Amino acid sequence: MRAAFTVHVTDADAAPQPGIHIDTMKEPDLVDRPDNETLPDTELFIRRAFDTDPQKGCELLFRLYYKPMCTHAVRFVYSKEIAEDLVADVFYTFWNTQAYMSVNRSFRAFLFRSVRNRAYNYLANEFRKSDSLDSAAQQETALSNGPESMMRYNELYQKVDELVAALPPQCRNVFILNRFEGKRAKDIAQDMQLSVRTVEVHIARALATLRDGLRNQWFIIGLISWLGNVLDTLI
Amino acid sequence: MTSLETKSLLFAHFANKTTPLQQRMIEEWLKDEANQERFYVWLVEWENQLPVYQPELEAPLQQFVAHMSASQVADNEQDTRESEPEETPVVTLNPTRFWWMAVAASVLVIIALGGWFNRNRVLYQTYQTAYGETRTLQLSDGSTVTLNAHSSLRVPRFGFGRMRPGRAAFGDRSREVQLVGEAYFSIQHKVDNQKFVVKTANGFDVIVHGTEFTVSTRMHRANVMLRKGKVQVDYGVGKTRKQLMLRPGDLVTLNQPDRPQLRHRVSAQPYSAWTEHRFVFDNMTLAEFGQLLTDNYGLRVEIPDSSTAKRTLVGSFQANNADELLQTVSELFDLTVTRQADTVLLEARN
Repeated sequence: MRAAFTVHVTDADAAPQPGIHIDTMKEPDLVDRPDNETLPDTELFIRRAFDTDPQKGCELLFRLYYKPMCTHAVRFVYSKEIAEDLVADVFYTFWNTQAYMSVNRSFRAFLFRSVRNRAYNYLANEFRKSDSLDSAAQQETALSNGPESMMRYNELYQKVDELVAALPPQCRNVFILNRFEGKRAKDIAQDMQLSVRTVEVHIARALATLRDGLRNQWFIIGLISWLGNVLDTLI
Repeated sequence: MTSLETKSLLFAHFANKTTPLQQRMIEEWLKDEANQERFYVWLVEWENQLPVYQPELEAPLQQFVAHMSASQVADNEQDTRESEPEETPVVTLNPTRFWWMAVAASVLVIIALGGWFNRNRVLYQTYQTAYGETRTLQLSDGSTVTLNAHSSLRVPRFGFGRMRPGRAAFGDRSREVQLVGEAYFSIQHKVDNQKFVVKTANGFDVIVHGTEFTVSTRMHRANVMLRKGKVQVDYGVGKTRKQLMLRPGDLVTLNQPDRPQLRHRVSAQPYSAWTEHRFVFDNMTLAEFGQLLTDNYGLRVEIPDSSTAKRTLVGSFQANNADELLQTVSELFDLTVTRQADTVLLEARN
């Protein structure tokens, strides 16, 4: 399921960037690699940088992965602002805890696992009642590996897309303007010539739909990442 | 399966266009750890080719670099900085101080004469709001406090923000206020790092280090939401006190005084929304909504049907009085509202 919609940008002072732009017609270019078995180590250069100056290394990683991480996180949380906050948080933690010292596979996999995990936690916290102190702390570290959870993360944003796509058109437009573009209810009401109350009710309905629709997701993913962690500690 | 086929399968998967059988294939393929690496390589490539929007890179990058440089400098200085205890500045007796002491002394005499039972009136100024009223106060030290409906704040009349901790006269009670209800604080930072303490009757105190935050001591939702700066929450039952340091974006709920529940990265806006007559509901049940009407407007809310009471509210609404708020919520849930004097009956419309 792919959400097919376009959003016009009405901000006069915004840079001429597209809003949500998903082109369903264009297929990505697939370039066959001559070597089927090994991937070129694109991070070799960054690894070298970390050996001499970790700060430089982090900066390079930020340059390389910040954008794709943001555009990935936004598929889960449906808000540019939250997505960018989550990604920044991943990088700040990466630096503050010197996590780069213990990355044994690629930085790419580490960073993307972290951001997917955080996006999941964010959604879980936003659309579920608050947890106790203990389980909140536990979730922070629940960075799961393994094929099952990798697949579940994709299912999660697929589910979010489906739920948003299934909203009534006006409700969906209002929700995307408010949540994704970060516009205020008052401005949306003016642009769409609706009352502020209608806009607020639309937003509330959309959030309620998401919460109800995602209700079953938490249990499954939570269980799988928990199992994954238990297995990790056993092995 | 060739690499090209696998790659197009994964691209389809990222775009949520795979069938359950294809997903099974991918899951099998992922069991090889090297393939997990490929998964992320292709995920990056796919995100770069078909981004859903164009995030701005330079500003956040500059911030990140600045943060890294700053924390490196801080690391070097940490040894000297961390070991320094918080010193109480040396106090010299200047004329103003002397004058204030004189006033305080004479006030003490008056109190002694006037009798002890009246001392709270003399020593403290109490600000109170009625049901449905919010009010912004400016304290003598420059801090502002916005009181939500049906709340009260008790502030010392004398020596507030002037007496320093450690001085004997009034103890270190200066900049210490007592809150009942809910309030939004924006605290003026003092050059001498003088503390500001919000005392509550719910078994917790908030110790402030210059900041903006919301404190609620309502019956069913005692909480502290920090917006800016740094505060410390001192909680516990009886003698065993514990401390919790909050960072901006933290929300701590203390419905049971000895068991705080902490959430990070909470949007502060909902917790101060009432300062602009805005109501923000984050998974609030209708029953809790009824409690909110009781706290803020003194209305008694009855919801006879328990499944209706469990329905939850999400969203942000502007309302200047209880009627507007009830109207919005009844519209959203399709409820009938029957209001008799101070009692409100909410029922699902059939």
